[in-house]
Amino acid sequence: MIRTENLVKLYRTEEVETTALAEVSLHVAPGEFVAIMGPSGCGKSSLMNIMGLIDVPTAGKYYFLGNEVSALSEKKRSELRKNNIGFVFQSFNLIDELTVFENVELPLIYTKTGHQERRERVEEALESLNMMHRRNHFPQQLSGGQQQRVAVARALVNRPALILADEPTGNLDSGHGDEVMRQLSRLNEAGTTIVMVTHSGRDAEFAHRIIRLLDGKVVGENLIKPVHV
Amino acid sequence: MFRNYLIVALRNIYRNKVYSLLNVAGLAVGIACSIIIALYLKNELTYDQHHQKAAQIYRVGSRFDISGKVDEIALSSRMLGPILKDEYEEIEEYTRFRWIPRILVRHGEKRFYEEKMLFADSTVFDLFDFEFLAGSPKNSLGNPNSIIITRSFSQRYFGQENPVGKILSTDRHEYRVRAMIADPPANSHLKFAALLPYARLDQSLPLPEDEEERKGELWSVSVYTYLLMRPDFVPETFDQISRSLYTRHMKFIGDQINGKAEFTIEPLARIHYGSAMAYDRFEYGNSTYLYSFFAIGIFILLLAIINYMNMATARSSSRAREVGMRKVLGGNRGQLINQFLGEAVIMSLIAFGFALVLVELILSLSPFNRLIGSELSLAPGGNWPFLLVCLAGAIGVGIISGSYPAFYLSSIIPAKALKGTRKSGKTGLLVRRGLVTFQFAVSIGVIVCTWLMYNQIDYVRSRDLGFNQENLLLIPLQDSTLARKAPEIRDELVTHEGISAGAIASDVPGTGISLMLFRAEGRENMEEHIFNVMFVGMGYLETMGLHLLEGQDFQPENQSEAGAHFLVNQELVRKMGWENGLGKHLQAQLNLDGNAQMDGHVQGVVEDFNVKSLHEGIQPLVLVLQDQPSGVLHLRLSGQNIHGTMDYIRQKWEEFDPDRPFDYSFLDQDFSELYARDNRQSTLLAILAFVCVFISCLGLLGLASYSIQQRTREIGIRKVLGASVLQIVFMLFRDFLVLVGIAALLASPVAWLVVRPWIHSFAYQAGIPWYVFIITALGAVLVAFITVGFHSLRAAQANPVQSLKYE
Repeated sequence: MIRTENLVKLYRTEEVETTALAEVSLHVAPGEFVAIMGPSGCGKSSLMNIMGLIDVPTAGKYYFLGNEVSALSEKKRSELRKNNIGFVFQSFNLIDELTVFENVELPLIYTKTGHQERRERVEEALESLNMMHRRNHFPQQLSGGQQQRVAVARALVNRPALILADEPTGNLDSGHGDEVMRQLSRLNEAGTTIVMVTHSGRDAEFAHRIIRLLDGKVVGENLIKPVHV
Repeated sequence: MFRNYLIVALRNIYRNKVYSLLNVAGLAVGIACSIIIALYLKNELTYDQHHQKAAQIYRVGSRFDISGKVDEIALSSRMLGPILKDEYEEIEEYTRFRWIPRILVRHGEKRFYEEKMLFADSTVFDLFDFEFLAGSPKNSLGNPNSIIITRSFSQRYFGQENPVGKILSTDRHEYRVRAMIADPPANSHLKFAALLPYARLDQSLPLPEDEEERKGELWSVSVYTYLLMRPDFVPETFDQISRSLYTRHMKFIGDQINGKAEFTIEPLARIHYGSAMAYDRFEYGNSTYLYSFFAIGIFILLLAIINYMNMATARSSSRAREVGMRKVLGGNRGQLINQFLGEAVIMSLIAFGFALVLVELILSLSPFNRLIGSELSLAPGGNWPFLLVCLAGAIGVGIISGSYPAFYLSSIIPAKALKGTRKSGKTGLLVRRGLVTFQFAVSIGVIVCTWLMYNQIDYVRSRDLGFNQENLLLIPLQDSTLARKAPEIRDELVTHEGISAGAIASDVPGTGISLMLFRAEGRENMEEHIFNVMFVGMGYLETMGLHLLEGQDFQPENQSEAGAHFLVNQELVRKMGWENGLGKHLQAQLNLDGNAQMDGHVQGVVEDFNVKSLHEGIQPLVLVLQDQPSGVLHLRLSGQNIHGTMDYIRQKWEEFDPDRPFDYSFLDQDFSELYARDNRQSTLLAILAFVCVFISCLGLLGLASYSIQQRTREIGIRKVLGASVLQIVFMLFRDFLVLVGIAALLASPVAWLVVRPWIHSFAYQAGIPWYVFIITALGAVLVAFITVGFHSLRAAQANPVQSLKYE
């Protein structure tokens, strides 16, 4: 599903050049649940942004679904992204002005899904995360755990092949955090590939494999459990 | 998708009430002002276009060149229309107007002095369209005893009754009302209360029998001539007509008096903003004000647009997450641009709704219309196309104001926005500061211009006219019988302790002075010149408070040879190049045989004084001793117990002239009427300048509150490190002070360049005082400080623990 070859990401300001990723090569197979771990500033989020096609590498190659995509235009990346990738963020990133239902509906609007189908799929996603009773609430009216469940519902509503989760439990207490992780596991068991960035060893244990990053380099991998596809 | 945008837009407006309110208020006030200005411009620019044949109608002006002195006047000879129609096939029809001097009109017990009556040819309705409310145009002015009245005139005499067939009388004649027409619309330069048949004038002043003398009449101007040209008429060809007419009918006199004449035409639609020729007693506009209003309208709209741009981009930090998420979920930049443009259009349409209400309130409930002397209205009757244009304009305003925020917000990089690490960029901040600087520059510029214009008008108004205009009572002498007895009553009145002097004169300074062809002693021989002339009685200089510089005033013994004694002003002496004016030879009222009916010598030189509005400078003037008293009785009141004196005069006058209501005015009031239009226009400018400042302050308020919000953490750290509230307030204000300072530096020279030519168009110039610029700039700083101060103070007083937690 994902393969990177010598990915480099540099951030330049007027005086300083920072290397976020230094020749990172890795692959993620379809159906896999991969956790990326490492200390703050090791390049986890930069890697996620490139994998999620919301940023481009400075050098190196990125193959997504078998195609080299690192040099694609913003428009083509956007097409690939909206049809194949779902995102879950640490800070939920729900749109405050939209209700729970409307937030989850948003990806379907961008993929021009019909009205009736949109309603069905949003309801299905909210049902699966046990959030139907909150469909007309605004994000500020929900707890952190509930907000993250809405964010997960939004990530899966388009039935993406890949979900990228950036510290999905970072803003949650352990109870709510476990609940979100179980949801992600269920999605993975249903066939969705998941790549997750985390600081938490506890969350990482939900994954099949852990990739460890340090100073922008892959410094190790741990296989936790075999992948069942 | 659209529904989603609409929901987000409306919820955003609802959630951010204060900023929405600032935005909508700025836009609504801006749009409302622009609508009012547009209504005003529409009214001004469609002058006289309601006449169906407007495109074929022209007014003839005359251009006389006598001994090198050129006069262009809106009047022409009463012979001109008939000759043109007879001899040139291009002219289909003509009609002439002539103002009737203030006249007493009676119907039963009702008596009113009327000032807006015209003689008009019966062809007037072949050229112009007036709405007939009673009676019909056919033959309505054919009979010399007919009168056509407007509705407002009719209401004064007949109330709601049908006036047709009723009789109105003047001192000399009776007239039967043939028709009632609607009052001419506000955007008509021909504004009158009633029309009398021109045939009546021909009866009282018949044309000379002799053909030569009739042609001589072509040199004498008294009427406004309007021509209806054939549809295929090419205006450029009128030159040939004018030349051929001159050669055939006027040249033989022109050669005798060293003069030339030609005629020019002005299309009807351009008369109002035309060349403003001398002796145009119809209402004409001042294009300087028109351009100013147009410019300010655009500026105000621009300021409101800038407000929106500023606040929308300043709020980018709170919208960044949404933009980032939408992009991540597949929204492309085009869709985001459409979304933000759509939001701006929604905001603008909401503001448009409020603006319409505001406009209606201002026009119908406030004294605004009276203040600017107009009848603007938004009544949708015939205004639908205008309202649709305004609606399109509001959508345009939305698109323009949304454009920069749309491009700016849609360029946000999602990776940064979603991590929350995004800060407002330097470019964005610079642009916002640039925009606020521009807003203040415009406001300062408009205020400086308005102030300087006020200053100029005030200077002109309060300038010494060269005579004492205070407490000068004017009583018109209504007819010649009365006028003949006037010296008697004058002599009686001046014995009252409240009246210090009195004199009779043909004209009153400021109300239109006659021109006359003179022959004056030149270096080698007599030269022809056109001078202003006033026929005055004994005691005129004393009554007016005029200074005689040399020679002597008119003496009683001069009365027997009245046309042979002249006083002239300094300007005439200068103009003629005389070293000493006394004894110089003057002739006027020249006959065709070369003799003059008025022939004499200058016996005194008077200090220059103004006989016209101070828009015009001092011009050469001849004072001629009246042989018969006529015109206006001038009485100089001592200024003490004016009420008692007025009662005395009224009582005496009513004994003297029991048939008419006592009619009088004060010269200073008449003179200030000359500046009424200037006053109205500058009032409007002042209101608009205030609106500019108001909108700019809204912009500054928006920018300040966001700028302070962004610096909350910095404020907290500074407080922890020991900064006082005052230091923090000034630190926050310093940035804005720089912006306002730059604005003042930019605006001042531009305002100077704009206003200078306008001030130079006056004969008397107030100059451009430097303190106007300084005080305006300081005022702008003060307003900015008050606007920013409140926010700054609140931020500075906040608990630093809170501010540090904020980040």
